[in-house]
Amino acid sequence: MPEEESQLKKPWTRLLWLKQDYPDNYTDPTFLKFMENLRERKSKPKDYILKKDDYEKIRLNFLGFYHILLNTCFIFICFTYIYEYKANPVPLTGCVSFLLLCLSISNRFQTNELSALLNFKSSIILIFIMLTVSPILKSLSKTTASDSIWTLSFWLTIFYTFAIASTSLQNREKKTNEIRRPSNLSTNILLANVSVLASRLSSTTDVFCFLTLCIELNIILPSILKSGWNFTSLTISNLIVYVFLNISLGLSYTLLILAFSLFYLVVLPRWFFYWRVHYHRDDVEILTIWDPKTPIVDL
Amino acid sequence: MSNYVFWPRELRDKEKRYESNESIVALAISLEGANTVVLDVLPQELFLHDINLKSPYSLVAIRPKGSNMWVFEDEDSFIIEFLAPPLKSMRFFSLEPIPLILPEKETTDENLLPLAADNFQLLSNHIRYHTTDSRLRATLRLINLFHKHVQELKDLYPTLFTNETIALDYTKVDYMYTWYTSTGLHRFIGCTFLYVSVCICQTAKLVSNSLSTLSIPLVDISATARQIDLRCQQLCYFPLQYVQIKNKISSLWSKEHPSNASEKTDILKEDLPSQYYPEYIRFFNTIWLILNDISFGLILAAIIGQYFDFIISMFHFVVHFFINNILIKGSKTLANNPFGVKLNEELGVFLSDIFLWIISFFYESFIEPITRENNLGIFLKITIQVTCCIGCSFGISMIVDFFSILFLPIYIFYHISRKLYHWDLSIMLSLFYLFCGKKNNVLRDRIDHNYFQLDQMLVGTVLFIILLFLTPTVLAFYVFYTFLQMTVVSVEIGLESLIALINHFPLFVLMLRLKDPKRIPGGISIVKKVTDIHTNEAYVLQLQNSPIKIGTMFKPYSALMTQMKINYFSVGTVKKIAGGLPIMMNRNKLYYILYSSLPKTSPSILELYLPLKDALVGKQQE
Repeated sequence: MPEEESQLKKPWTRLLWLKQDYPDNYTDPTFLKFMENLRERKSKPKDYILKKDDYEKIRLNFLGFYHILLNTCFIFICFTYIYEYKANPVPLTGCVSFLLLCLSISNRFQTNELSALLNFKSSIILIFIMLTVSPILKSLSKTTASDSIWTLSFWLTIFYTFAIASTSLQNREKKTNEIRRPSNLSTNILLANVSVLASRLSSTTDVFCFLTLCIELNIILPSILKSGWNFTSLTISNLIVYVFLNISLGLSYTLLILAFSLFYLVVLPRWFFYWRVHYHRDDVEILTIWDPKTPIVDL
Repeated sequence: MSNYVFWPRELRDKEKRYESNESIVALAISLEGANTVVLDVLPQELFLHDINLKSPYSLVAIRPKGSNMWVFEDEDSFIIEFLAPPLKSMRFFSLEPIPLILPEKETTDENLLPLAADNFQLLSNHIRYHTTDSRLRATLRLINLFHKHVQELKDLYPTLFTNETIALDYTKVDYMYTWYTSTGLHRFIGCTFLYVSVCICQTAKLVSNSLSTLSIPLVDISATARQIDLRCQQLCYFPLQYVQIKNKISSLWSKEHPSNASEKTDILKEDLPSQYYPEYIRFFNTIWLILNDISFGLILAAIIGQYFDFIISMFHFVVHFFINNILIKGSKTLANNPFGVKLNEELGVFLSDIFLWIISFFYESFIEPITRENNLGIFLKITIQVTCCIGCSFGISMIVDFFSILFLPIYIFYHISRKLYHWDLSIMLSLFYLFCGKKNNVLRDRIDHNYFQLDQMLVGTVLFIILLFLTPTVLAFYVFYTFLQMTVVSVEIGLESLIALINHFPLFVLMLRLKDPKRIPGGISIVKKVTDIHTNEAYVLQLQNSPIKIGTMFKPYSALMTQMKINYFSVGTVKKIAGGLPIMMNRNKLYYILYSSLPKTSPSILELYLPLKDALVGKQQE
């Protein structure tokens, strides 16, 4: 009988503002189970709990953030390529676009979400908008000093890194099946950053190519490579970034940055793991799962 | 509860005239719903004869032989002394301050919240919180008509007053007036006045209507039109006011008396003096102001006439300096990095070019012609003539209108830059929502999360960045023209306040306040006074009139000032300026307060004609 009843009832949700068919002092079994686990874990030594898997997870997260940083670097690589070296951006843009087209066509039949993101209509609109606003962007900040633009771009980059890191890493932890979509906010900050930088460029073609490159590399490419990153893409991006750094800043700087990256990728995850084992309090977890939710009140 | 007896102070002297070996009685009137008011003191022997007093009149106290003390019928009685207001002196007692504006124009306090108002209404309607001052009110009405009641008493019981010299009711002037009204000359003059005033009223009404019922009411745009409208409305209202005053005065001073007590009680229900005297004050205040206006006009015209050439050259210089050095130079500076602030060059040059073109167009088309020295001279001469003939306020309002025509370009620039700024702000706000991945939910009036497509985000962000970079430029133009507009508006407000002061200054009331404060009561007070030793009472209560407060006299004017302050010099205004909202005020709303001594609609010809005919020509004998 009770089983039948529970089948009839709607499952209990932890929302105070819903009128539910449960008594006021109802305690959900999942909560009890969670508390039981917590108590059990506390009684054992910590090394036992955090297994090899957990370390893997931490390492992957660190690697994910590194990848995001590498991707962000592409904005500045493109910008330096066009602004500092005054290279013609058209061949590069053509190559990247062609590559992207091939990739997306090969992927098209696999995913519907991707086609939703990148359908024919919106790509046409994108291209035309960029063509229209390129001349305006070019003259927008003519009277503003370059230093203010660099500062603005610096802060926008920092915001962008954190915005995209927080959303994309969260998405992965939840292990949802849906495609990893960049959040609205991070995309917008990226676009703002790109358009601010674009206003420094001298010709309309440059502005258009720069915008296209950045959007392709930072928004479209990561969503095509939906599995996150594989070994090939990681190697290629590392190669490009360090070669470019070597060319523009010199070998000594490149080595320094490389050392920092290695420190970040090898030492920091272990350090973090050590901290988790010895200093982290488990009680905090109860708040991450049973966090106080804020009601949405319709005024 | 003790019974209060109102005792006129004039009777105190009369008491003393009677020998102390004579016993005297106090004759009083006591109507239903009012306190007893003593009308006269008389020797007791008069009542030994066969005189029986009818209902409202009674003997309330007696001063026996050889005594100084009054013995009351009702032992709980207590005396309140008062000075009876003479019938023709227009003094009266009133619980409320005398209404200087029309009762229907009394502005209600709109600041009360509707919710609070509801609760307040419930509370204030509750019987417990009601003070019952109806008895005091009725008594005051009785006191206000004291001499009328005494007269009635004398007419009813002539035997009581045989040894008193009855005051002459009819003076020589009165006899002259009665003789005059019986002649044909009166009819002729009356008819002439009637037709002339009806014609004037009709014309004034037509002018007033045509000024305010056009597709764009001129009254809202031009100060001169408003001034003409005000004067026309005053003209229309004068005859009606005259008729009302005349009717009330005749009923107040009439020698006909109601015969029985119930009719007397009916009279108590309407308070004639407090209805008629305010009307009288309003009427003469308006007339005084108009005369004053004209005399000021003569002074102003004389001053302008004396410094005619200086004023013209000064004005010419100021206008040209303003246009060349402030307007044109300012607009040019804005295009070229003002104060070292680097604005967007393309937009800055574009906007400043547009404004410069508009300036040169206005300058060529009318500013230059009307500010030529000989044209200015013609305008000033017309102003002098107008000021001399119909008053200072008209002259000033013509100057105000001249100013507003002259500064029309600034008004237009202000609105253009304001509109640009406002659009800029509102578009940026909604694009900022898009930037944060949010969207305004119109149905629920809140900001909701929304997932945008890549192309939408690109358009939004790029536009947002463009607008962000252009905002300083738009803001610079907006600030500059807002500052100019506020300066011009301040000058106009100053002049218009001056006009308002000339039009609505409570001159007559102030004069009355100096001359005879009792004619403008602001309420009553009952004070304790120590009396002389002759009477045995140590002290008595005295009913006194407290004159109206100066602040109450200037109430419409201070309300106008508050309104102006709210409109132009408040936090709300700063908010409006920051948000790019218009700060223009509705003149109609503003001056509504000042029209407070005029009715909403001017009387129609029929409403006017018959009463006026009765008042001027006399009632037709049919």
